[in-house]
Amino acid sequence: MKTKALDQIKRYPGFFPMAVLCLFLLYTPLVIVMIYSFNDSPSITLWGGFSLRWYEDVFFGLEAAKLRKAAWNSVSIAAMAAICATTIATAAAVGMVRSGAWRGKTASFALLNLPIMVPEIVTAVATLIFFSMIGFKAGYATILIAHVVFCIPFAYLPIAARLEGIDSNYEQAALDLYATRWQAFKRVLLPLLAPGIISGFLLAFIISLDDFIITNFVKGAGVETLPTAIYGAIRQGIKPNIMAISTLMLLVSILFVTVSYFVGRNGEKKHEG
Amino acid sequence: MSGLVEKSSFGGLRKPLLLPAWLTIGFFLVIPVLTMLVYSFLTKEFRGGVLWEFSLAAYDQFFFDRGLFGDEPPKIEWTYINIFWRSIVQAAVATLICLVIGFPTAYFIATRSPQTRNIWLFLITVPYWVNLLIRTVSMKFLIRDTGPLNHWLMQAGIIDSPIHMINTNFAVQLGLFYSYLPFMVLPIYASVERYNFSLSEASADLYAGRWTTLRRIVLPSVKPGIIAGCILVFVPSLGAFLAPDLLGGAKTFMIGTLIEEQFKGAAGNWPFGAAASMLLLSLVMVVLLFYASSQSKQALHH
Amino acid sequence: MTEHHQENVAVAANSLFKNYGSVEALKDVSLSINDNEFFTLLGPSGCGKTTLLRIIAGFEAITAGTLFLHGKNIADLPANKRPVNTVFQNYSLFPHMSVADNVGFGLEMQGKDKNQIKQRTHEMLELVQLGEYADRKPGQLSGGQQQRVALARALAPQPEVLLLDEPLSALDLKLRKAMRLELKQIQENAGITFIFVTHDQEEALTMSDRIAVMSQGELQQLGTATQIYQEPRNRFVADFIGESNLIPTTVLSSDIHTMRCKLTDSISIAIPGKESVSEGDQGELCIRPERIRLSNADESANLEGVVDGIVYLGTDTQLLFKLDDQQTLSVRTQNADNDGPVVEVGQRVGLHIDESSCRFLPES
Repeated sequence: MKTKALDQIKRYPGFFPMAVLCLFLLYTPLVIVMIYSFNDSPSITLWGGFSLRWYEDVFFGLEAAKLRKAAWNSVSIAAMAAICATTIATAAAVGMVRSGAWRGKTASFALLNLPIMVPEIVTAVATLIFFSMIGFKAGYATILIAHVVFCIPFAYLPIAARLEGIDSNYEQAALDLYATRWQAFKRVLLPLLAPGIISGFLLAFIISLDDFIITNFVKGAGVETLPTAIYGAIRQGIKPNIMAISTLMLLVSILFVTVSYFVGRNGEKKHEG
Repeated sequence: MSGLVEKSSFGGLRKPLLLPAWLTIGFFLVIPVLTMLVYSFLTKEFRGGVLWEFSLAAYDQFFFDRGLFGDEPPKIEWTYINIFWRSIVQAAVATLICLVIGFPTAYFIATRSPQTRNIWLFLITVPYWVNLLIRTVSMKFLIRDTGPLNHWLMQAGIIDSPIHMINTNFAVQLGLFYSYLPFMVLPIYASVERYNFSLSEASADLYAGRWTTLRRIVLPSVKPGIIAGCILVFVPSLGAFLAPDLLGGAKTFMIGTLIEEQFKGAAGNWPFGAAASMLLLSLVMVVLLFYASSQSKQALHH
Repeated sequence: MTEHHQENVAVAANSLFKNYGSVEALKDVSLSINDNEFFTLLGPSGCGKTTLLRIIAGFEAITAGTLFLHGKNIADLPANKRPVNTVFQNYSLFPHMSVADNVGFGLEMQGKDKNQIKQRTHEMLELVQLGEYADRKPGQLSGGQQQRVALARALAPQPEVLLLDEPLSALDLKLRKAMRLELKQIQENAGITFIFVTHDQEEALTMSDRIAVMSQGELQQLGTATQIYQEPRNRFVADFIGESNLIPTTVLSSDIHTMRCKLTDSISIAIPGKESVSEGDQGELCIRPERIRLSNADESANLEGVVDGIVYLGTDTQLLFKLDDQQTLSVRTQNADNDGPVVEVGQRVGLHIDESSCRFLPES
């Protein structure tokens, strides 16, 4: 009975429709693209029946080789950038959260989060200018370096948040029980931190995969990632095969968010002990 | 004294742990931004790049109009100032719309049972993980003159001829709103979730109506989340490129498209692009400093 | 400093200071703790007791002072090199390891061989009666069981001193009372020095061989439970341990055996004498409420008061009296002996104070 009375106070008429509207707005364009990716008609507006021809086109069509190459670049860059960023961020999180108070800590925090605070287009311009000044040839390597940099804060934030939630008594208990600092980190802190590290990695990976602006600036000629390839393709208008690629990438994203969701939930459960 | 005890089990290793991050960001972001600052004071070379000669031409071009041959007395050049102003307005409106839809959504989710809450959160998070380019392209596809939206509206007999939405400010607005809506919902949700609902009960107990409680008690309590959400929408909207580029046209130029054109497009004026980037960065830093000072003020109050 | 070491002293702290920035968490704390002693650090939160414990464990550095463990200077020894183990307040059992792995962790870190670890882990789990829970995760155990695992984990490496940081505070009252006896028993069987931190005076009084009462970073008094209760050294100790009537007073006369102290304007009482107190000294009288009785035919009244309030407390009743000079006096009567006069609010009653139990607390 009590919860009902409480709900009366908590509840506001109109908030539920707003929430539904919010979901509707977020999903309508995505769902429509998904539906039309199965459209048999080459005209992208008229419905010509269900077909998988555009998926076939993506995998085996004229541009298949190009797309495969772009997809490989995207995935390999994202994987490497996420691994580097997560490693750097994990060390940084331990160095920030478990180092007590010191002068310059706020500045260090600001520096770590600078890549999030600087607008993407500014980062893109600055990186392009920098690489051109030092005469570093634009290509795969420049994309990778730029991605590592802006992935660091995205990996850092979930890891640091998780670390804040882990009682420092755990490591101290390990130290108290004769573990060295490395043993305390490896045997106690790392396993407890794992869900945060995985979330950080997944976030960094998807952020790298998602990036268009910075990649577009630093990629140089000839090297494409999926977003730059798609962007190049839609300059000539939206074709149905783009919708098929979009749908595939959409599914990959959903897979990722599902994995990260379950990792996070498992971590919470384990941590309750 | 436990409140004073600092977590410093790895205090001695602070520098080696932080050095990789400092160096990476310092070398590949801080130095590039400083380089960009230098470039904004150099002379442009046609077809991109710079000549190493000091020049104020980039900033002069941004703010002043000296006629076609550069010999007339300087007048204020409104073209670029207008682009900045339009970007600020667009970003502000997008933030406002996100807030109007995002707050009730976040509040609604936070007041569900834990299981339902997780499903809602999951649904809100998914689009955030979907490629921004793909989301913008989807929006473009939907609202084109010959797109599904116009098609249905015409079939349903609501309109006779397609509504022209693409290449308008409205379309850009829609794109920005659509791109960053999840950024508004998530921080507000986090705030409302932490909000102690017995405060609402206390308010009701003291004869406040529901909406008065919302205005006087709930909103002030979750203000940090609202401000964070607004910053997270406003800042990326300000420098957005994809929404104005794909959904807008020449008349809906925003800062992002202006800058991009200097490097990738026809304009090819690096110092000017660098100067515009510096101005955008300064604008964003002002917003963030304002935010940081409001945060620390709040910390003082607690 | 080793030459000062006495055979039976486990921990010796001399003039310890600990500052956090401008906050002084410990001010000139000196104490020595004996082997096989159940030693308690007692005080309200923020008094510095936990800081002192963490300094002994090696989690906090000393600002100034010295710290010896069995005659060895350990001030600069890191936590993982000190033969001292801690039972943490919230146990801090590693949630991702089994109970047995938790208990064996310290031995493993010490590089003991597998069979030895297995055997010792088994022994320890038997000791705390959790033999069959070895393969469970800490999260699957109740609070009381987790508490025992934490104890077994800290005892397994056979530390020279065991530190316990409010280990019972997370348990409910019944379990807490049972664990008190058990802890005391384990301490006696293990023959290890226990340093126990608590804010709960009842816990301290029931378990400890000696108690150090702390407040605001300073050691207020060190002694056995009886000493601390019966001979409080100052106002803080008298007020913090148990209940007491603290009445402002002046010493009217004083010699080694007795001193006469003013109680009200017209009445004075003779209490046991104290060194370094002389006539005219100002201070407070500490009178325990259970040492005041309603006077009856056998006992003459020291003074009279008007009943101002009656609070029924189950085993006893608290009576509040207003004295002639408007002072309030709290009196406890046991409900077991119902012979005493039954009083009513407003009634004027004669009171008998057991003068030998009263103490004079000089102004600090």
